[in-house]
Amino acid sequence: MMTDYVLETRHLSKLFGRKRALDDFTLQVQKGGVHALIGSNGAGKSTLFRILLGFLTPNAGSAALLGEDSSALTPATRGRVGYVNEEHTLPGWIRAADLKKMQQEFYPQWQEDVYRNVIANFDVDHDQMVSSLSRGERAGFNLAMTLAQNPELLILDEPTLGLDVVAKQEFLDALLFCSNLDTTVIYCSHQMEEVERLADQLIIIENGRLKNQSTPEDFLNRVSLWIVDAIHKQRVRDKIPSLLSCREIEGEFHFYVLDAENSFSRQLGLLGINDPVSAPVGLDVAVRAYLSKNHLGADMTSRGEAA
Amino acid sequence: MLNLFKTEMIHYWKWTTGFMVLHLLVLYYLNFLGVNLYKPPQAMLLLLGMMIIALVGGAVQILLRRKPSEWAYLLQRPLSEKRIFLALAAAGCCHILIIALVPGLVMMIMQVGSSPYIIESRHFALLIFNIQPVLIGYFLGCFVAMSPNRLGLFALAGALVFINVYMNSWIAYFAPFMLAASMALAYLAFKADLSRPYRHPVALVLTELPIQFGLLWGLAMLMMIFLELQWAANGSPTRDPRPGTDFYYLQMTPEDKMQAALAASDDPRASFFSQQVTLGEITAVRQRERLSHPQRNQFPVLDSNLLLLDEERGIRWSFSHNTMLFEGRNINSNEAVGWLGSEGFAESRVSAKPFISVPWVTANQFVISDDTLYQVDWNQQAFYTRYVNDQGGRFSDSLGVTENITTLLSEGSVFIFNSRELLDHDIALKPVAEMTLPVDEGQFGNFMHILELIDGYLVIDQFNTSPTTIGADFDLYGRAELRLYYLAPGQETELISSMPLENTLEGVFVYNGLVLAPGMRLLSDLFFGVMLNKQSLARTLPMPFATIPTAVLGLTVLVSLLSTAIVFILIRKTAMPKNIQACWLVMTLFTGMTALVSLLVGYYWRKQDQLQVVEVSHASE
Repeated sequence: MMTDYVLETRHLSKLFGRKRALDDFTLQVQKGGVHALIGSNGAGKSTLFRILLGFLTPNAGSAALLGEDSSALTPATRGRVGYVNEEHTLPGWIRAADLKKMQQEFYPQWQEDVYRNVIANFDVDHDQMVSSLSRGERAGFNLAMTLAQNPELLILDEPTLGLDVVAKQEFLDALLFCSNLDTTVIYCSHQMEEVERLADQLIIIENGRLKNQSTPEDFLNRVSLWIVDAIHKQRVRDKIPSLLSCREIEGEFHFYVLDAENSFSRQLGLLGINDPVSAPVGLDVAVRAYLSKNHLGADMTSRGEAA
Repeated sequence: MLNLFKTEMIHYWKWTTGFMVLHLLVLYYLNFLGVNLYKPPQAMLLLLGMMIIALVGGAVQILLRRKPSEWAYLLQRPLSEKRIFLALAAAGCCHILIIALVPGLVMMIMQVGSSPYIIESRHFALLIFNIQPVLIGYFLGCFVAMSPNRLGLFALAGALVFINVYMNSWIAYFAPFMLAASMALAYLAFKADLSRPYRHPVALVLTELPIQFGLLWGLAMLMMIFLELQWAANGSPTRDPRPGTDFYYLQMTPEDKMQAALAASDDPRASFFSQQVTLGEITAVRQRERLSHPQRNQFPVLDSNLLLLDEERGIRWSFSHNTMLFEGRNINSNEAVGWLGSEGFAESRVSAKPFISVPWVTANQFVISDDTLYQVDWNQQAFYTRYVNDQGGRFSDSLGVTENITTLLSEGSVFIFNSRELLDHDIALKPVAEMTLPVDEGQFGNFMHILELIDGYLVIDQFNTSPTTIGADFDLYGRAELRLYYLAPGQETELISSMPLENTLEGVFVYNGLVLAPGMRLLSDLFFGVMLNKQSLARTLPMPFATIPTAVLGLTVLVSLLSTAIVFILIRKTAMPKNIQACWLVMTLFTGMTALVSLLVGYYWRKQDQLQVVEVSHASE
């Protein structure tokens, strides 16, 4: 099946007992660029990856990777997909050099220069056993090997989790190198600064549903911050439907609003609030506000206050 | 694939080495204690232990990989799933074989020439053949760890039955089939999504049958517990049997049995015999052993009584299958001292005449080959041929010597000798009577007793007594008989009384397997029939030949239809492919309740997601 999408799901649903991990989830990811996948814990990201890689069977819907049905991926297609998980699972019982050699033999399209360029960011002694590498070294080694496979699609599932600042920086530097390659990257992370730095596209998944798919800029344009005097809080909270969350900071209330930049000030005016102040929003804050709406539902304000 | 194999080999080499050394130490210690490692029960226990280790090893190998991140690392590579499995399984088998084989081989090589037991090529052959049950254990362990059916553990029931039969008779020809079947189970279960039900009807049926075989045994066992509880409350038919039933007669003394048979006889001599029964002494005929006809080069675990001991001279005479001679060795120095063949003792191997068939040893004095009874006189270091059976039918290991009479069974006859004549080798030994065994005698309930009369012998025989295990042959139930024979020297055997005995057991005991799972019952009969090498089709597959009551047949059909209806209700809402749904329905019609239980507990109950039961919510974003 020829398709422009490296990844495609249609009405995907997955149940674990009574829990619905994915719910009518439809997503199409175009070839090229870095696509950040964001969602809170349990949102369905890992389930999505496992279905895409064929390790889980959906209860309904379909999934395809590089145009091939995920439930029947051929070895050739698997060879075109790189996958790095948060644990950087590697066989710890062999030497790094031996593992690299084995990996090299698996992939005929192995690019030694890419491996060298990436591994140069990490202090990996190839004579060491893999289990004795530090977490950062292991992550780098894993990334270098995965990139050297020259994958068309690279799936990174929270690869920087648990790395220290230096290791994380090195990892991201190495990953940036990848943006020069002809590889589409699906990058799953909770670290917004990483997403901000890397992502060309922002995919937000929550409660098993696709909530947003756009560029980070477009997403930021959708979320706005309004600062209102504390006395108006109750009126705003009750009357404005597009409100994502609110936070009390030094006697002022910060309202995060979705898709309502112009209408929001008008609505505030109708409520008799004529002095609202608009302020720029960072991606981190915007995503947090966006997700908190979905988390809190009707009870969002109380959580906002607590925050 | 080779790389993955190498990785897996490196992964477990420390554990493998540890277990191998431990195994070697255990064998060495047992050998040091003078234990014969190749005889039951120690040989069986060692094999069973290895099989369990292999089973756990297979399960652990897969379970360690089942963690999502490990599974993704294993599968996400340009290699087909089946080749990945082959690499893992090949490495797993190598590890298991190193643990199982190397210590055994080392021990055998150490024992050659230095052990009181003769180590021959058949010992090495046993080692090779025992690889199969060990690998069966390994693959079943893998299957249990991967089976999408949560009742995968029940597949072990078939293996347990097999290993029980294998250990009792070391059936070599059936092991490759079982090995192939267990490999197929593991091979089919290995897929990227382990929890995904099988999509091909053949895979579904192949993996379901062993599980349902185990379920049938489980259900039958539950039924047995239920019956036992009921019997505990209301009286057990086997422990407190009704008069006239086979178990009632089984509990009688031989004297009472003879009297009962004589009372039912219309023979004019019955009252005269009855008087002699009251006065005479009854002796039991020693039954043949389980493996009473040894084959040359058979597995050493099948050996029994192949040693003679000359205590006075301190010499152990061990029979060698290679030379077909007893080889004498000094107990203390292990030095070879001579040979014993069918024509007596010899100093050199060349001058000793080999036995034609593998003989048995009884009472450290009698040696019995297929057709000849020999006697050893240790004082005079002499070897006598006492009796040659020229009527055909091999002697079995059943020489029973009592004060007055001695009995010996052959395949078709019972020979009765005078004990005094037997013990005195200067007297030419001849049977005082000979009885032809009934040809319709089944495998259960051979209870034969002999009474010496003034002018002959009375032999009472109760046979075809109902088996007391659920799932035994239908055709044996209700066929028990009590027969009384009169033997006179030089005359034909005379049947003077024949009493058919009622069946002790209730219908529910006999037919529960049929009602619960007719198809599984049919297949399990076939399994046992083939595995036990039963000779007639009626004994191999008794169900079609049995006279089954109409009510039982009706109940069987009802249970099957009801199970099929429930399965239909359970699967109709699932996203299961239509051909798999049809397969489940047909299978349930055939296997009845076991299929229902397998689907309900194995897949459906609290795990509907496996069957892809889904109600998609179309809530808007």
